Amino acid sequence: MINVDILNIITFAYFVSFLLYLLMLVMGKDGFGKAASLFTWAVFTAHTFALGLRWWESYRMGIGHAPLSNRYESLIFFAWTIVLLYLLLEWRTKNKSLGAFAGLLAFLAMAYAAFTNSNIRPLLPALQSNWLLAHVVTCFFSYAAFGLSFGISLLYLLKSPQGSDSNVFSRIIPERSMLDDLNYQIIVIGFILLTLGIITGAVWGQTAWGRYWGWDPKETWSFITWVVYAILIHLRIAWGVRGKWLAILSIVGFICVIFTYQGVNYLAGLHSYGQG
Amino acid sequence: MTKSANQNFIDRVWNFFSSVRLTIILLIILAVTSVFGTVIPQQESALAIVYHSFWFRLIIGLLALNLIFCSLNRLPATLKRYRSRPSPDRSRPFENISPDREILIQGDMDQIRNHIREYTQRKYRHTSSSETGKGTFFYGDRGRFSYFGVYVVHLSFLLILIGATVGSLIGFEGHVNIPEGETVDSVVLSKTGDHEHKALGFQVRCDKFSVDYYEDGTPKEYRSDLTFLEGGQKVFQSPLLVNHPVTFRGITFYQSTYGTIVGDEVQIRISRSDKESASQIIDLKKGKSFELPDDKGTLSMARASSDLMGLGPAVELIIQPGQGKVVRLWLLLNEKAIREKMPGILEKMDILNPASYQPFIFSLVRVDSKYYTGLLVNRDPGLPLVWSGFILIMIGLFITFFTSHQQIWIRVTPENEKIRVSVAGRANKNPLGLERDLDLLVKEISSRINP
Repeated sequence: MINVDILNIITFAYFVSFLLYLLMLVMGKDGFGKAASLFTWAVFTAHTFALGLRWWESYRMGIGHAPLSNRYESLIFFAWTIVLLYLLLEWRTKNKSLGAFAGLLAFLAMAYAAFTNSNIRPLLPALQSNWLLAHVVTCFFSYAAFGLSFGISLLYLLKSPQGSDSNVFSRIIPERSMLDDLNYQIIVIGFILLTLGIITGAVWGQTAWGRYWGWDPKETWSFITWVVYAILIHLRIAWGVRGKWLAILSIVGFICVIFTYQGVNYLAGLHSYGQG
Repeated sequence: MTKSANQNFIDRVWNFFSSVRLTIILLIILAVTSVFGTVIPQQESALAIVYHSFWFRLIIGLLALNLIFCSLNRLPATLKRYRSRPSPDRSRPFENISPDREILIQGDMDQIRNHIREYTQRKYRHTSSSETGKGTFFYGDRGRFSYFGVYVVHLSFLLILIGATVGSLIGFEGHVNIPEGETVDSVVLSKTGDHEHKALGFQVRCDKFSVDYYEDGTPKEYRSDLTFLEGGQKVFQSPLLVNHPVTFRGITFYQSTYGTIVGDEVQIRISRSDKESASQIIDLKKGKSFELPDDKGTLSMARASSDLMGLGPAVELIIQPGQGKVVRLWLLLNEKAIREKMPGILEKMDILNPASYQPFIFSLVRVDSKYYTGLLVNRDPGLPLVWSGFILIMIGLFITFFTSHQQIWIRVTPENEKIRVSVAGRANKNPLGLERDLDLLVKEISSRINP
């Protein structure tokens, strides 16, 4: 299938993105940054096209559905949401220091996808629902937001406290206070999207399985993830917790996200079609 | 206990339950205990040991109490902030404002005042102005409701919890298997471990069950054609598909599983121990009987079982001799294999012995199979509460994070033939948005007055 061939090339293109952003960080040269941005926009456009093509190909096969129905499709969509959110963030903040992280995360997701079954397969009866699109899209955009927050938290911990930046690496990274504000804002967006993702999942669960909540492992882990970020937000609002502890909690939160997304596939449950 | 000690105790309880510290602790406990549940391999035991256990519900209950206490504790301060109408002629907001928040302009004082009044009234919900010796002051604010976003979010959790409680107290969940062509009037309650039945108050018949496949063999559609009857009268007919539940008289049916069972038609070989050559194969249908040769009686099929005591598909025959007692016996489809495994076992019991009605020897040649549909059946009166909770959470989160209470002050003072306009503001959230709006305000005033 053509879409898979294109996506395979895009996988490596994201690795090139990562290298360009990394060169910008290490060499401290703006040129690499500009090249990285341009290149990443181009790759993202191709990625979008490939997703559309895969959608179209599924209709040509007579089993038309949005490319969000198995592990392969979820991984390439996850990479797409990360790059989209990152590019929006770069455009809004005019800062490229998170680029290397976003490029690497997108590359890893796509590389992992290459090891899964990339065939377009028909939708099982349980997945034939209008809620599929709403549920998957909201969940993955929340995962992507938390992924970027994870990256910002790493930058925060990397950045030395007060302008005493001796290495080039740290010079391009924005001030800690700015990172902290940005981190919190992205976490709030991720939290709202995760809430919406859980709600759409609950409504779907009610129509498909007759219950909106059943403590299935994936549901439970999404709840745990949600609680971790809820703790973070309460700490921030009530006690004004910022900085290091916010960054650490965000890292814990993203570990939960990864487990919600991939880890629970090793536990049994109704969401097991994610294994395919 | 003295009165003051008593008061002290109440205060301490109140402070404990209304603290964010308790919220954080409870949330951590909730997260950690939830993790434990997911490492229990069996979903049913995870529910029993953790999620449906008393102590897990206690944590959630404490969290709900904590939430109520926190809300009540903070409500008076919130209401005070919501109701407060600061006077326009305050000098505090203008202390330490940045230079680009002050402009010197030329023009008519009245015109400038009118312009500012018109602008604030257009952009802000509550406005006021006052004339003092120090100049003219304008005040405007909007987004007061932003203080209540948090309450909406927390209230919706209570709503969802109440909805869930209502559902588990007065709702029910059950399941039922209906073979094609058969009718049921009750379901097995899931909670009771398959012991208790619940009458539906009407009957459901499965007319047909079918599975549709894609070209590559994966299932495409599971479909049950159901008929709902009351007092034997057909009231409602509907296909039931996965993701498309059907509700009748407030009870909802979901396509859950399916399977096959022995149907109503079987083939039986009748041989004779006295005449080896006289063997015949007959078709036997439920409800029809077969006359055995030589007026030896009639043969009919009582019932079929998909798995009789672990021995596989079986059919129970009833033989009514011309005179004498009725003989009943079970024929096993896997007779040959069972004989090989356990020789002589069938002869030990008359009811399993194919030769117990002499001179005939019966054996089961073929059984017809038919589908049964497995339905999940429930009624959840708490759903409207849960759904409202879901909608309110999203509204509340939006108010909490994307709206802010913005207050602005504008001071207009004459200064050496010119007019000085100073702009200041305050917001409970989104400081960047406030700065943007103040910039816009300064720009608007200067552009209108100095074209």
